[in-house]
Amino acid sequence: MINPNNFTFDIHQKMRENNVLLAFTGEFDMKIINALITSVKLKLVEVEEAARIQKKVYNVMVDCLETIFHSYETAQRKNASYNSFSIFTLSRDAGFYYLISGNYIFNDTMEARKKQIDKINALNTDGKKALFRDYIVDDTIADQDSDLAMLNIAIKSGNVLGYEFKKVDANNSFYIFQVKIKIL
Amino acid sequence: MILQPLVLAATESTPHILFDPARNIFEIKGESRPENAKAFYDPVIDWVKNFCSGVKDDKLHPAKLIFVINFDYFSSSSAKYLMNIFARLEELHKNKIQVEAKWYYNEVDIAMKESGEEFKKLLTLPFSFELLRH
Repeated sequence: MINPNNFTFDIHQKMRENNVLLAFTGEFDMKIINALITSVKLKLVEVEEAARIQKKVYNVMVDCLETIFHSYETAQRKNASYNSFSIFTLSRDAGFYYLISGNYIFNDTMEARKKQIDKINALNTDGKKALFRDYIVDDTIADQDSDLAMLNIAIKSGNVLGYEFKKVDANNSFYIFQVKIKIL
Repeated sequence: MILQPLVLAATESTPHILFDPARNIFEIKGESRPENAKAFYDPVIDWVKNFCSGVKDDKLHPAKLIFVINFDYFSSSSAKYLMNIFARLEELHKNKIQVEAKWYYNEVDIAMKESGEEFKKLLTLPFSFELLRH
């Protein structure tokens, strides 16, 4: 086993090197989400001068956390053995804020998730907004709340949504979802 | 028509709602990201449904109804329910009852204004936008 002191030090150093402003790993329930939202609100006031960017990061972050919450709610309904241990990080460099979430996903739902994100990424801003309007007037188009949240994230962030799947075993993969917000 | 006002106090994740026909106040304010949007909004929609059918049946023509929407944030799942409320108010408007949606947005939150504009595109209900200074 890795020495826990070294491990903690390494994590701390890596977070500093990557300008991580906030990181949480564990199960995301509403209490945790509310606590994270409050922390980020305060943190952004401290690190970001532009109120417009603060608000943008805040809005996208809330959508990201909701997406994690809804996606594992849905997964748990399908299969009670779903592993809901997830991660969320907020970091920044000179040009962008990065909001990254990671959660387990069943391999048989991976293709649908890829298609969903690729479809959103292929649309321009007007196309995304038109699809959003379709979703809110017709309940049957969006499979679940996460479809709508994902689209909302793409509209608000104004950037392409990044994703990657890391295969864990025959049934599960770790799904990493990345949103970038440009610092003006 | 006697309909009790709908009064919901704001919480960390749900908005303040006050629909009070007697005082002609219809407002929704704050954060809307309920853990279960359906459980939160279904009773609100039911209230609006009762109100609208009461107004139509009684052929009452109340003073102009102004629906004030002043969100700090609303989740995408809340958007579907908001659309449902707008659609019902639009029905009143089509029945020659004066209704207007007044959408507030903060100057630092242009996305909020754009969200209102998306609803406006879907509706014939008159919409106005009110800027709040940061």
